[in-house]
Amino acid sequence: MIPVTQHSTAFQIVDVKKTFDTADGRQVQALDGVSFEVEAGQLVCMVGPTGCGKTTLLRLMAGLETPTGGQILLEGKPVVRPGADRGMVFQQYSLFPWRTVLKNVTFGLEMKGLPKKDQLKRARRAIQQVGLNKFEKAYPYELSGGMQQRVAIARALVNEPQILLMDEPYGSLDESTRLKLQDVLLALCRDHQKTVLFVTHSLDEAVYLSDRVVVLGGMPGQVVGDLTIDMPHPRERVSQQFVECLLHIRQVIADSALNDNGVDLVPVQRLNGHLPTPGPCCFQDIEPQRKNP
Amino acid sequence: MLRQAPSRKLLKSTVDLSSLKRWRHKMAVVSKKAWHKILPLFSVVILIALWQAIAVWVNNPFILPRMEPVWEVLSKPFEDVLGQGSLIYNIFLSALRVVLGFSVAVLIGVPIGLWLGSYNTPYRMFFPLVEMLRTICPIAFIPFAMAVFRFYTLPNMVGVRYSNTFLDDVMLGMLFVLFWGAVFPIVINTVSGVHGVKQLYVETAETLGASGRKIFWKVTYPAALPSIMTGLRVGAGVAWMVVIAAEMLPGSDSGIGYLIIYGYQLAQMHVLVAGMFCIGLVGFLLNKGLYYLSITTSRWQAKER
Ligand SMILES: Nc1ncnc2c1ncn2[C@@H]1O[C@H](COP(=O)(O)OP(=O)(O)OP(=O)(O)O)[C@@H](O)[C@H]1O
Ligand SMILES: [Mg+2]
Repeated sequence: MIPVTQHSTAFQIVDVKKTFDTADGRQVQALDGVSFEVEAGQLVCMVGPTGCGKTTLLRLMAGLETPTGGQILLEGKPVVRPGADRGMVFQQYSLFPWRTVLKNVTFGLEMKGLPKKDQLKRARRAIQQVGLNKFEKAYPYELSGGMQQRVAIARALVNEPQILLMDEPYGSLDESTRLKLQDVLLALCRDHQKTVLFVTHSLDEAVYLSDRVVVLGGMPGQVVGDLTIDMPHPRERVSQQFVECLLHIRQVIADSALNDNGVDLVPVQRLNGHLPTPGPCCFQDIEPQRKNP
Repeated sequence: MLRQAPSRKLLKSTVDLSSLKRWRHKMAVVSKKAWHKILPLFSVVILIALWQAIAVWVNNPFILPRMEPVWEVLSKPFEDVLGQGSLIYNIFLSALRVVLGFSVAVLIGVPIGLWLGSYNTPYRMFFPLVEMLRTICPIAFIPFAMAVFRFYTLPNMVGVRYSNTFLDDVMLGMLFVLFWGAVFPIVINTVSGVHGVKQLYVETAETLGASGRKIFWKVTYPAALPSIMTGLRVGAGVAWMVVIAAEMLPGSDSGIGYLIIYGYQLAQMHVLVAGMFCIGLVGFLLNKGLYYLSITTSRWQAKER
């Protein structure tokens, strides 16, 4: 059940920096010297507070942006442009509004030049997987936000890319769909050895899914924690081990926030020393409070 | 406390009542819709009545004709008017000119718009020129067009002097002027359509394996289509206005615009008014037609949230 980790590197992220020129002539540094490697077949979750550069990093890996410093290698070669080998699920709603659900999902297959019949067969299977088979003729504007996001996931998956870059893909989904799609993703990784980079704000999700959690922090973003999660699948969300992992990550996040700008995050006081009974484990962005006013 | 269950009889009567209510409600909805359809006709009736009242009061057919002679012309669209052919024939000629001039404008304007919208250098180079040229009123081009195109007609282009068909009435100069009127709204709306394509859609397509030409045809073009359709609607409207004006100028000898100016010269005001009525009707239908076309191609845009 444990994803077989081949020991070849997919991504090498070497001291990557990214500075944006804003419309009003300022410069915003989003990433400051991020380095880590992603092994092929690994499912890596990225967590971190909003604005720390998670999306920016994914976009760099997708080839949608170029780094202003350092480099990103994919199988030894620098990433220069986007390609079908790296499927992306965007944080925003990205369905083509002029295409029906079915036609949205077949888009990538059309680009590959697959026969029509195969396109439809594969697209229908993918739509079924995200539970929207009743809606294949609907247009995006006829769907709710979460439904649109599910179509976007189906659209990325149907292309069968070796690498999946997913930016808070399950953020707008209800709990049961979310759990179901987590298992869909795990099954996919188990069967097809996908390399996945998965941004999420839910630590529970991160611990449930990933072989490894990379914690980004600060502004500009840096890697502040990198944890391997070595638990067999399927993982039990209320097990001691699971909760320990979760709290550990939470501690790392809290510590980094503390180091960064001398502010404390609320949950830290509750965590020190002992394990609280497992409650709702979702990490939320907590308004930083001044430690000593 | 539980409320006492209503007796069977009472229950039945309430059911009947509610179904009656529903039926009434349904009829109210239907009649409201029908009412909304009929309502605009009232304004037409009021306008005609007002016209007639003033015409009777003025009592001078050389200034303000009554409705009867106007209707006389309108009710016989296939009969000759003042020796210049029937109403239908003249409308047909004007419409043909518009369709031809407009089609050329679409065939040239849309590709140019797509090109200018897609590449920055041509855009920077040519778009200011487009904005300058478009301020030259197409009517101002008529003398120029007459000088350049003389009396060349469509059949002349393929080496036929007279085809003895209606095509002999389609002069190239006129088509050029119509083209000029229609092409700028088309180019400008197409450019702004291409510029308005969300970067996110292009990026999505790229991560799904699209590139270059495919992105253009599968993303840029469909995303810009609603704006292109707006351009076509505006362009067609301009062409219809311009054709009437052009037909009224010296050198023209057919078309609904010509019929109007001819009626004026012979002091046949009822012909003039009947012609104006036709212009309004055709313009209205033209706009409606293109509106439905644009709705069917770009319903998604109106509904997008
Ligand atoms: N195109 C851009 N132009 C200017 N600044 C940008 C641009 N894209 C991102 N930034 C800045 O870079 C920083 C990181 O943004 P990014 O979208 O990567 O954050 P994130 O970690 O994905 O946050 P969230 O969790 O809210 O999605 C932010 O401060 C943002 O303002
Ligand atoms: Mg983001």
